[in-house]
Amino acid sequence: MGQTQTARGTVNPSDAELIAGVRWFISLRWAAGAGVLIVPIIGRAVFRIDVALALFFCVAAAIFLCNAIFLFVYARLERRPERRLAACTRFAHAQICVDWIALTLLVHLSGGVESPILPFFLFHVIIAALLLSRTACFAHAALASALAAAVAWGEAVGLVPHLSYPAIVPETAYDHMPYVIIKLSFLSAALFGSAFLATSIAARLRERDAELIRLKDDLERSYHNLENVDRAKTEFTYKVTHELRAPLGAVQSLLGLILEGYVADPAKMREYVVRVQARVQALLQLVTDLLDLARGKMSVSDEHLSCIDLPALVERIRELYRQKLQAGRIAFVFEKPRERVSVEMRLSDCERILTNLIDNAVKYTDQGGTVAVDVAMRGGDVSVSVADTGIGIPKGDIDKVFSEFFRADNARKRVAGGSGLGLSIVKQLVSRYNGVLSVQSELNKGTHITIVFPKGYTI
Amino acid sequence: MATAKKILIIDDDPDIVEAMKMPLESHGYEVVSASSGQEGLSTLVKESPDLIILDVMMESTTEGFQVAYAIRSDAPGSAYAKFRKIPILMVTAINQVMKTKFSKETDAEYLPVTEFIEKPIQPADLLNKVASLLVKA
Repeated sequence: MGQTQTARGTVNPSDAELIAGVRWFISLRWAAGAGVLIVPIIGRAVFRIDVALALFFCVAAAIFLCNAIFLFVYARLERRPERRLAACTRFAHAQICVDWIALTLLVHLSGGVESPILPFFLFHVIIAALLLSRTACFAHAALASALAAAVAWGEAVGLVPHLSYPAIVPETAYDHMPYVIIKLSFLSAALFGSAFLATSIAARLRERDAELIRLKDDLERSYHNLENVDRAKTEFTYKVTHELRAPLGAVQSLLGLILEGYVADPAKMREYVVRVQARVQALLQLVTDLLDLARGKMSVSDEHLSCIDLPALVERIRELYRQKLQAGRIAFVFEKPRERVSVEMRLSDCERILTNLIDNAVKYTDQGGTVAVDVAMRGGDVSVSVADTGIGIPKGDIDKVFSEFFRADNARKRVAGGSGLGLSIVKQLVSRYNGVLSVQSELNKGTHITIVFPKGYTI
Repeated sequence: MATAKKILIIDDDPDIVEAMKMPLESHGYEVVSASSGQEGLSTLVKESPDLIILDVMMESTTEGFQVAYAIRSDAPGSAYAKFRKIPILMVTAINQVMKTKFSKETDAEYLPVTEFIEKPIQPADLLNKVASLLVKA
């Protein structure tokens, strides 16, 4: 329910507020009914006022009867949560109107314009402010003013008899019409003034409530996010443990064979040592990757930013891959841009990003294929792209290639020792510089990865 | 000598396969291997082995279990009905990673495998377990 608080909720009462208010209103009415019973008795007994007790009792009985009906209606409303707000609003209007009639009758019975209970009209204006909208509250203030005026007018012109109580007011007020008009005007002013004040206060309280609910929702959301982050971390730890354990298990199993004398043939022995060597090498790479990934995630680094000449860096990496490119007869296409293309980054981050992308491209491209690197300024943004004519990524896996430890089936078949962290590291590092990473790929056709570092990015 | 008992190893780690194959072959068993669950099931039908050594964690963490369930399935018309009673030795390093302890006593009903062996593979342990499972079978 709290989540559905909208702008409306800050101006008008909410469902929960209204239903609680209506319940409270019904409880108050029992006390009001009791007052209608007791006060005339006290008036008669103590002050010797000649009140028509029977008529007051009739009004009290009517109040009790109506309140019992209200209680019944309330119980039904409470059980029916759908469309309750509208129903409760109508219900509150009905209750206030019934009260107006009872109050008008009581005012008439206790002396019309001279009645000591005339100011009680204010109570319902305040109740209306709490339960209903500002407009409805002003409408009720107008209705109350009209009812008070109607009683005074009816009694003044003799439409209904004027019940006077000389013990309270010695002479009848209707002989002094200016007094009647002034009294009614001030009553009306008090009613509208109360309506204004009470609705303003109620609105301010509601705004504060809504603000609290917003805060609570925000807190809950943050808490759930943290929970998810925690779960992801646990999952990551689990995967890391498995990835570290698998090669260790293999190494230990192979060494066990040698130690326990199952390998007599020197050639076989050598084969096993080579296998162990390869697993240890992969393990070392995994640990390096894990460190890089952690470095990408941590926001602190002791390395300073420097202005990196991207074409020069690409050339340097190309040199490192010269042998592999020749062995695989892979063409490396790189056209040095005419303009200067540079980024403000930590050198090791930039090296890692480009090396990982170029390494993947070379690794997953068949003999005779092409790896094309392009760096360019695009309207102030720096764009870096690496395209290959390699094995590509299966369609359903494109979204997953940046996930930690994910390796597509075709990549796994082609290169056994990969850690599945290379692109995760790239993603981490790129996002650290507010870069945008996009990948296009078609199975058996090739992959094209583009990174755009926005103009004037900040870290 | 009677015909050699045939063992099917289903494991995606070629080094672990090698580490099991070597001592088994040196003790006169015939060994065939498969590197995925699917390949394992088709090899099972093709080769009709006497025992399966199954890795618990292949590409997904549940692949090993799925293979075991497929073999033990009593669904009518199961392609593996012939092998429903075949002994399965499950290889796992998982009970040291996760809190759950897999063992015959606690998981016999849930995990339809006959025996467990842990990584790293100890050749003597492997040979003992294989021999005793084949005697029972």
